[in-house]
Amino acid sequence: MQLAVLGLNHNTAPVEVRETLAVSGDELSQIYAEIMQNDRIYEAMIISTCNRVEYYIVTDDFLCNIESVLGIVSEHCNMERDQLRKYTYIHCGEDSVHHIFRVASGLDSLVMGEPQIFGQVKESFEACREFGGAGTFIRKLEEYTIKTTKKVRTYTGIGENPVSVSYAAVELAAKIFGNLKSHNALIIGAGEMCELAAKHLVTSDIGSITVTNRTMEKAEKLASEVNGNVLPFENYRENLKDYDIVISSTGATELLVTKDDAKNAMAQRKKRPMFFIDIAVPRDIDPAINEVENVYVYDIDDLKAVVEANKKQREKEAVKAEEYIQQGLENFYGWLDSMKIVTVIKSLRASFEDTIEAEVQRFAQKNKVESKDEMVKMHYLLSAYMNKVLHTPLKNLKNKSSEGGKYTLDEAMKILFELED
Amino acid sequence: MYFDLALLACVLSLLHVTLFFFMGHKKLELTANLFALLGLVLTTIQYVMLYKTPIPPFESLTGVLLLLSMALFIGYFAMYIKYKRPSIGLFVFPLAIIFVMLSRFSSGVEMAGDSVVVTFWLYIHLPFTILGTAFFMLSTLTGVMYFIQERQLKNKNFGIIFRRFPPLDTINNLNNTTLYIGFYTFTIGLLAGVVWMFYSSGRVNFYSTKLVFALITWIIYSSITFYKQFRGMSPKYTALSTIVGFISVLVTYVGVAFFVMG
Repeated sequence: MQLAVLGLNHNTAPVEVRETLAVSGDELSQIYAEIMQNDRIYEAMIISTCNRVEYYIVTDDFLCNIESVLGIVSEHCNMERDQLRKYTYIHCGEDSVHHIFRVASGLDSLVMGEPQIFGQVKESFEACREFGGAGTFIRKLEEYTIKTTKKVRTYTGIGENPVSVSYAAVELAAKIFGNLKSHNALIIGAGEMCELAAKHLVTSDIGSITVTNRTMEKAEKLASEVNGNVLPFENYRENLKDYDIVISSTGATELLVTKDDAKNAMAQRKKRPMFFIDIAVPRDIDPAINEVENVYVYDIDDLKAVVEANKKQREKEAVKAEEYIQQGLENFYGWLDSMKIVTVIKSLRASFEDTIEAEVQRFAQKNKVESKDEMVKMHYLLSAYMNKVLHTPLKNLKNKSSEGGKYTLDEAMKILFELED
Repeated sequence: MYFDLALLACVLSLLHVTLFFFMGHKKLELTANLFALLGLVLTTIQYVMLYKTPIPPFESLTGVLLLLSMALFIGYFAMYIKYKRPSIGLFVFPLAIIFVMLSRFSSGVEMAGDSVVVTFWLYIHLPFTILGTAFFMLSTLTGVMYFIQERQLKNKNFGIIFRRFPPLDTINNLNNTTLYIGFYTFTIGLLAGVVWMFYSSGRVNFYSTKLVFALITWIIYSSITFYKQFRGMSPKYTALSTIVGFISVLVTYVGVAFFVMG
């Protein structure tokens, strides 16, 4: 049995194709049922997110059965198989396990190291169990995927450095103020960037958010979305002193906050630091404010530099993450190998037990033993003998199987039964 | 033997915290802390062992320096427990190494002055003064950290220092906490020292070099803390004043230990 995956993602398929192939919650049960109709597919799992759709199957013959999955997918999305092939990739065996570990850890994501994919993979495993796609293999795969991903996220900094401009702005604020709980933010503008920054501030547990905008309705709308307050645009200058973080992104052509504004605010703040983030082009905040003591100003280019530095850092962390993934892979295949041995051991014991049973019956018939007690005693004696005889070889079989050595038959017998030369 | 082991533990803790700084593995942080803890235990054992030597630890330079390195470790752990910022170890552990080395090489050197009269007050005076000094050192180091991180933010350098150093506000909190703890413990130590001097010689000698330097140190640090408390001081000025204040501590101890002792 091996795992194989048929999939497409942001690297192989454009968004139009990805959205055509995306599997909604309602369709899942039907597709699972269609895939599982194939007797030679023992287990299956589907991951469907905005950036990837992947079909994992556990099978003996991955080439034939991936074709059958491709057929189901092509029917489902009304796309020719050959056309579909252009956008898809196939991995099998170790490569497919390696692939799912990378996907869950965020190494294969559009934004490397993003954490949401882990939750989506976990949800996919849950759905797989719900729709009857999971067996021993996939359950174990789930366990190892979760373990490996947790290790990657705990022991590497893959998710530590933000790689979006708005999130980087909030992280910079945290680099100055530490905990944002006791700090106040003012958002000047109500556009998309302001909205994103405000939402990141909320998730970072900011003390309070106030929104100001030339159009009051837009300010009110954004404020209600982030549970914040509204400040009339004409009053923002005299109230600057009340805010530790000021984020501005408007279409204004003139400077909204000058050096004098910052100086006046600082004079009233008892020298508590202030952080200005200017995401607007042209800029809203005078860059000379950075010269004022305890005031820090970052514009869009600075934020992009932060993002670039963070991306490089994540790439470095990805190398570390690959080591943990390799470890996870080895552990998973260690388990898989041990499962093969368990099957051998089970069938060996079953064969011995059948022989004992047959021999006891034969002996009883031949010697006309009718007492049940006698038969039980004979059975007990032979079972005890069997256990004694099998103990050493089975113990050695279990121990040596994980080492993966290659032996000739006579060497194997010597190792199993601990025979001396 | 404990000297060498303590030194080894200090070096290993510095090595691991440096590796943690560059590589960011959490296990390295744990290992650095374990070695630092080992360093603290070994220096404590060595300090206790000094009681078996002809010169007791409170009369020898070795004892004072060992106590100072112990106090630095204690300060480091106190701040680590509160703020969970191991990068301060980058500054603390080299100092601990220096003090353990100095105490190793100053073995057998007696402190200047009359022989020490051991009373209860000596046991209050010495540890509190040394602990206060160690916290003053920590506040200086965090002051230096503040300036380094502040420069990173102002100049928009997004390198490893920017990423690994604590947020500016946290460094400021570390700076404040160590300054206040240092001031309170040093004050207790100084007062106990005055009482101890009175009990041991029947009078308080205000012309004693030690007392003069200690009073200068106390006056400088009390000015900083009182000014900060009642007039307010920006984080940058607090960092600067802790660095300036420490220079006086250096004069007190280096001056007393090497210059006056002759």
